[in-house]
Amino acid sequence: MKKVFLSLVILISTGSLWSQEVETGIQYGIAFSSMEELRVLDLQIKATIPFSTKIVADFPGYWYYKPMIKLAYKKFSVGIEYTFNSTGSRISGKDYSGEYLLDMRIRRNSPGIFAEYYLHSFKNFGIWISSSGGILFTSLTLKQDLSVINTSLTNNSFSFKAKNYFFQPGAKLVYPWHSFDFEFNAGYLIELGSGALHEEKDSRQLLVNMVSDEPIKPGWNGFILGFTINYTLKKSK
Amino acid sequence: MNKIKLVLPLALPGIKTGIFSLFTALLFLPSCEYDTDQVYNRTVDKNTTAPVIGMVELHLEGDTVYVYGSTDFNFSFTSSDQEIIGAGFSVDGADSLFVQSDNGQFRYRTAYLTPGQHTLKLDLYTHSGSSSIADILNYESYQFSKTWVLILVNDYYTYYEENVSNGYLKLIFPKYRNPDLTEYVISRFIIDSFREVGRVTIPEFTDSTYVGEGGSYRVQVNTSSGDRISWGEANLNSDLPQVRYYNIPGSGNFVTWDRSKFFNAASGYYAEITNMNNNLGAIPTKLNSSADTILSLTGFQNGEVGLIKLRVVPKKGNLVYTVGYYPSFERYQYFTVTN
Repeated sequence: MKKVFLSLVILISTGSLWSQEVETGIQYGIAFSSMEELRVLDLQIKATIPFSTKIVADFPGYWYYKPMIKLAYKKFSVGIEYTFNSTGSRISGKDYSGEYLLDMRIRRNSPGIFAEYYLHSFKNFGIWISSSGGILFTSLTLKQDLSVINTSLTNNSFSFKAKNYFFQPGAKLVYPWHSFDFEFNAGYLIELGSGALHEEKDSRQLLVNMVSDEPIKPGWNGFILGFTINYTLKKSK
Repeated sequence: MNKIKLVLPLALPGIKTGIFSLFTALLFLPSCEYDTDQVYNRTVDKNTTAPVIGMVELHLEGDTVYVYGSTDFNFSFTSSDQEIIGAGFSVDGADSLFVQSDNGQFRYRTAYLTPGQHTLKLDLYTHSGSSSIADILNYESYQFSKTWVLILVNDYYTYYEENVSNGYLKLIFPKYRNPDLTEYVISRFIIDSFREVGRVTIPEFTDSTYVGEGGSYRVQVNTSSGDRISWGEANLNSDLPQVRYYNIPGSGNFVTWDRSKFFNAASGYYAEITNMNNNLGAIPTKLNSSADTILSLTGFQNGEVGLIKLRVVPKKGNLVYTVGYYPSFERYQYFTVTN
């Protein structure tokens, strides 16, 4: 993967010598990640708490940010991208006597490569299909805080990380305007690999399911909807 | 499109502006991490009232509690509403021992206490009933305190002496001082085991069937909490009348004996007189009054040896006598006739 990524960087940096166009852009959108195993863990933790609590946030779809640079041909483009995405959960219980919080914050930093192919156009809109792949660097912070009558009984924080890969097929609708392209993107991220979440400083300490003892994987699988603005750095002559 | 130009710097023409805009957007990435400020406000009832605490162990109603020996000291509480969390015990102001219980039953071991007077303080804790986090984690509770004078008695087990009152055996034993006394249970050893012969609520027992045959008695204390405490015992030696022979010149020969000390328990005497010189057999005699204490000897010549067997016959109800074991009621005495 590193070799492919490096090759693309070299290709793009020298591509202006012979390509049609060089574009840079940023994509914003919402990623709806399944986080299936972490949701189960939340339920298991909740069941062990002796007083009533509620999962007030359950890994909702949340904004992602994806800067990219690509070589664009008339019907084809390739490029490199970097995605940052986060979501999280919270188990909460609060009353006059105290408060309990269990916060999970999960982030992914994903460098990757992508390719797009033009299919069709109508009324100045172009329809493209796309696919991308890369590395998923995941970090998870788990914080537990219990205070009763202004006294902190528990205040723990744990950090985990995992490394996996992704493949993301998708499609986009493109509207060009002067030096800009405005795009609506849709795709589905598939997490690949068996990288489980492990303690940040000790890879032997795995985050596991409380019942099955199975290691927990991040679970970034899910639909992605986004909006992209591309700027043409160098137009073809 | 003009509208976009106004609000988005990205829409401004020029390559430098475009690049600037894109990288400005990148600067915001680190600060755009997911977070939430949602909390779940739990439903609680802050305005609860204290429960009514009931004490099941009756002897705790008093302010002074006697503890006999190193037996466990049982407490039992009920709460009208909120559940009981536990109780803290402290003796003479020393560090409290906390015992958790979900049913209000507590056992305080007194084994390490020295005999004598102590101050026992009990702090009983119940849930507040508010269902708050503090309530559920036992950080919020109602507290009930009570102090007792605790008197630890180790040498309460007593060996009783024979005591005669109005012609009856009377056992007098120390008083059990806690109000949870139900009764004293008196048992007597019959053949091979102790059998109950009476129950009393005062610390004395009159055996209306004992006539001095000797025996072992055992006293136990029953309490309302179901405890049975071994309270003491009496081991009585045989105390039957002494038989004597005498001659009254001109009147004849006689055997006599002292009236039984337990005369009101005796229905009379049974005597057998045997002339050891002629082997004619014993002559049985029955005396139906405990006041009759003399027998006239007939058929004896000077120098002859006789044997009298005197049996004290108890009134009905003597368990030892009932089973037909008479030797303990009998006394034998040889005599030589002198005219």
